[in-house]
Amino acid sequence: MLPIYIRRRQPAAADQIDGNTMAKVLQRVEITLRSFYIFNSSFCQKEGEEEKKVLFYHPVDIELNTKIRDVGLSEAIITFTGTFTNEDDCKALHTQKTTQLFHQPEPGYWLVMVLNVPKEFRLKEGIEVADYRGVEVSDRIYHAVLRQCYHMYRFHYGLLQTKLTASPSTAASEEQRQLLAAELQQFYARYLSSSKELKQCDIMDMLHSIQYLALDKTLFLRAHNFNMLCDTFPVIKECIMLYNEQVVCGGKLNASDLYSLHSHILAMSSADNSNAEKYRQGAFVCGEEETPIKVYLDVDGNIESHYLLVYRALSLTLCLFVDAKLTAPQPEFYEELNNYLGPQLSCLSRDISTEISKQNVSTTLHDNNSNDSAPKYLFINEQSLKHHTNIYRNAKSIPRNVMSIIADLANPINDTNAAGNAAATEELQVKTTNDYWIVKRRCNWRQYYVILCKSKATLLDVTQEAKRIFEQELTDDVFFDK
Amino acid sequence: MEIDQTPPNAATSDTNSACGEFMDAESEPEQDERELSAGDLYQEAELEAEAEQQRHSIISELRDELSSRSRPRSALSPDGDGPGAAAGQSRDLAASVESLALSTSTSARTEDSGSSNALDEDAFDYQHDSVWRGQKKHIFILSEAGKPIYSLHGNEDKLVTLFGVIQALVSFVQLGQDAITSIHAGGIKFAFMQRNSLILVAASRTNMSIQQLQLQLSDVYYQILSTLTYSHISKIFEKRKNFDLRRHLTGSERLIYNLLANDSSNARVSNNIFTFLTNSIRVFPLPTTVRSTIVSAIQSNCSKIKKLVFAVLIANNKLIALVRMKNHSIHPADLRLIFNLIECSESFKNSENWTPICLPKFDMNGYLHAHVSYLTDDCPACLLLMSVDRDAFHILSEAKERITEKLRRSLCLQAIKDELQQPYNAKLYQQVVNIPDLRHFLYKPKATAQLLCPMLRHPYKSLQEFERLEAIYCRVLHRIHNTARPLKLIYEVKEREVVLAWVTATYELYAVFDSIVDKATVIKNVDKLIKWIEKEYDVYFIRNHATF
Repeated sequence: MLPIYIRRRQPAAADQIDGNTMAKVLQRVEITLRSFYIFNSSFCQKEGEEEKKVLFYHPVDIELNTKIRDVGLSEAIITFTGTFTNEDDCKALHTQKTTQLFHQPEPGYWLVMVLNVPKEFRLKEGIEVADYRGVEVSDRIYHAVLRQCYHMYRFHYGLLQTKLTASPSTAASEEQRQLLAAELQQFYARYLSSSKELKQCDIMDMLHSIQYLALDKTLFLRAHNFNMLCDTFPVIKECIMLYNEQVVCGGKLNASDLYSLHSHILAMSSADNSNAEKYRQGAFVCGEEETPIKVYLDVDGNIESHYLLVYRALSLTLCLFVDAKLTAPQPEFYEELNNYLGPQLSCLSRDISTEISKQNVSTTLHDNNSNDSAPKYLFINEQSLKHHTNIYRNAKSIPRNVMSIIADLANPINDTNAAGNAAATEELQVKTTNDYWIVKRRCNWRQYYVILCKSKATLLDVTQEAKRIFEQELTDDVFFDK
Repeated sequence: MEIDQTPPNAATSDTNSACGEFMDAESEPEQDERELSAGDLYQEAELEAEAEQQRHSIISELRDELSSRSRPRSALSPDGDGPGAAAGQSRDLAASVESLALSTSTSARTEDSGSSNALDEDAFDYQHDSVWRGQKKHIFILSEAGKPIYSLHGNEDKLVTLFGVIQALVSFVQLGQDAITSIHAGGIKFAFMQRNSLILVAASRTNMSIQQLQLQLSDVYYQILSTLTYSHISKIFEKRKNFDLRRHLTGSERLIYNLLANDSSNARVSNNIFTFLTNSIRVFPLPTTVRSTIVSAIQSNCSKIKKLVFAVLIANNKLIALVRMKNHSIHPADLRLIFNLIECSESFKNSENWTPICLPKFDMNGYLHAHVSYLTDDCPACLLLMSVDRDAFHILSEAKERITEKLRRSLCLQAIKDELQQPYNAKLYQQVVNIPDLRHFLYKPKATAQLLCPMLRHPYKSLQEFERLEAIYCRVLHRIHNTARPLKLIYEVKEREVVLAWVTATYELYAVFDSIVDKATVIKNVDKLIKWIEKEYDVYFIRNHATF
């Protein structure tokens, strides 16, 4: 009898708090981008030229003085932290109203993203008071968003420092600086306006991992065999295949480049208005007459430029990278490829569709049994940055605080990790105040999360349930590939 | 109930019905939650409470209430507003670093050092001192005008440029109607706090979260208030923005230092850090009969004394008894200041003392007058009798004699001595020994802000291992009490240990086990531990502080 008494009380207490704050909040303003800027202090050689170090500032229509002041504050913060630690290490500044993230991808070049933290207006003794919820902002997620801002630029334009080759303080260097500024303006104006809403960023944006399409072995091997294109056509350096929005084979592409490529293809598909008829037999997405776009890939630590050819047949997209040191591909090359790829690719695409519709039938059956409260899972391979999850299958099924907690618990994936700092094996279970359980396991460079919504479960029940899900879902060949 | 079908809950509920304070906490769960978990760690809530306090002074109310002839309070406040020695100089510097913040290009920087040449000449070259740079923790306190007040490491006079930079950063952000709260860089984080014309900054390489660092800063801030009071500091800075506050803090640096040096960053291995992390105090374990005899000895000898607000008996950094004036209580943060004062002051051991002390959570604007003395030469229990009457020394001194005599006759002194002479608390130790897999734990009932933790044993006696334990507790406490997304339970299996953190309606428990233990064993042992604590509750905790 007693445990029941307590069990009833606890949620009641939690509800009361929620209910209370809910009643008081008049309005909530979500996290927004206040500004985003790129600067390099070395461009300001003498006083009065401060505007030169600001290479890009968003929004554009801001007074120059404000831009210079903001950059000045960032520089001061970086210098201040440099008093105690390596100067290149500054990561974030929190003020009551903002969260400012710092990233220095290349020596001297700093990217700074300033976010307005979410705020809630409450009624306190008849007066409206703004309550800044800076604690809700996860630095790790938005720092990753900032890093992606840079990676996306690098993917399209290459390294920043390669744009400035002339010796400093010459007319030539000033010209190059202006060119770079114009290029940044052109890229980011489009990128920032089309990027995802900030408040929706979560653990996936933090890890930069990609969900691969799960296929059975034969189909996967057929898809994989398209890699032999690189042997048939030696100018093709790399070949990546996507089915709709999911990667089928990622080739040997660096994980962050693959993520950038994936975002680029998604953006391209949504902008592409041509009808599906065009791709029935397979066709190049960009016109064969135009020079193909150049992209920059990280090949063993060197950033090298490639032509990117995108070929599509039905739902399959093939991305081909051609070394840009050679001359741009000629029409004959396109035709040869088209003849070679068209029939095979459309055939494969049809087979994959059949396979997937079969899979869908079984998962819908499974999902119907358990609907929204079904356990959610997320598996991440830290080395290949592949993930496997059902979190997004039912939209909005996981409360935001649970998603943020997963981001808090996740181990950051970075280069030092890959360098051989042994990834610790650990197991973690937490219960949130709204009665969600998160079970995390980490071993062998993989992170596994299971999210359960069971208020009455005990620690041992949850362990059992998580074990069951691990065993049931971790059979995926693609996930274990590599 | 999260853990299993736990009998401890049954036990807890039993005690609830038996105890008035528990009932109160239970019937107002919302308030309870706010006060003890989020509220205390949440700076803004605290600031609000502070603003509330600034408006009225409990002490002056008490005086008015209790005596017809209330006198002005200023007599004891150290009144001094001598000439600010380097006032003009520091203004120059502040202005020059302001421009530093605006344009930190190399050229601007060299110009700055030119303009403040006189200062730079003997300035300590901290930027190139790897020992100073590499310290695990730094605390800087300065005035809003950039005047150095305190630095944990290094002579603050020689860090004058750094203080200038901090002041410039803070005031620059302030110009935009905003306030810096923290900076994060690789391996180090900085917490900022601004109170009453003071800027406090903590830099830490440990696992402490920003919230925990801010709690530490607020403890330091209260330590300063405890010496000077809020109103006095305000008055000083109203008169002269760049007043050198150090002149009024002479002698209290050791108090600030001791408050900050309680953790592994100062190579100290002790449980003290955990009282601060959980915002609580520790209680001196005594059999119930002994404790109630002590309380009644204090009550019977003090109830006639007017204007006596608190009587506090402590030993070994732990509370033996607290008797208070009706309707008034002491906040754990104030009690920690008292513990700190006693721990730092060897001189109290030799004689009776009469010292003014401000308890900021009680009344940040006035002093209480404390009669401080150890009970006897051979008993390290220290009694503080705190009154609002500044002429009460003799009355309180006599009361202390009577209390000591009473305690001697009732053998309570002996009981305290016995307890102290044990190298560890025997019963608690035995209990912990009975659970061999349990390495350490923290238990805090939600109703009392008191903490129970066993003495540190192997392996946590070595500094290196203790640092890990401290880091574990910092991280777990931070996750549990995270203001944006609090948790109810954490069960974590690490390479070296298993950690369980569990918050229920009545208590918080953090337990560290051997890494080889399985989940069922942990649950069984936690049950056992909770049951034992519930049984022995009155030995280790004080449910209700008596009144005069």
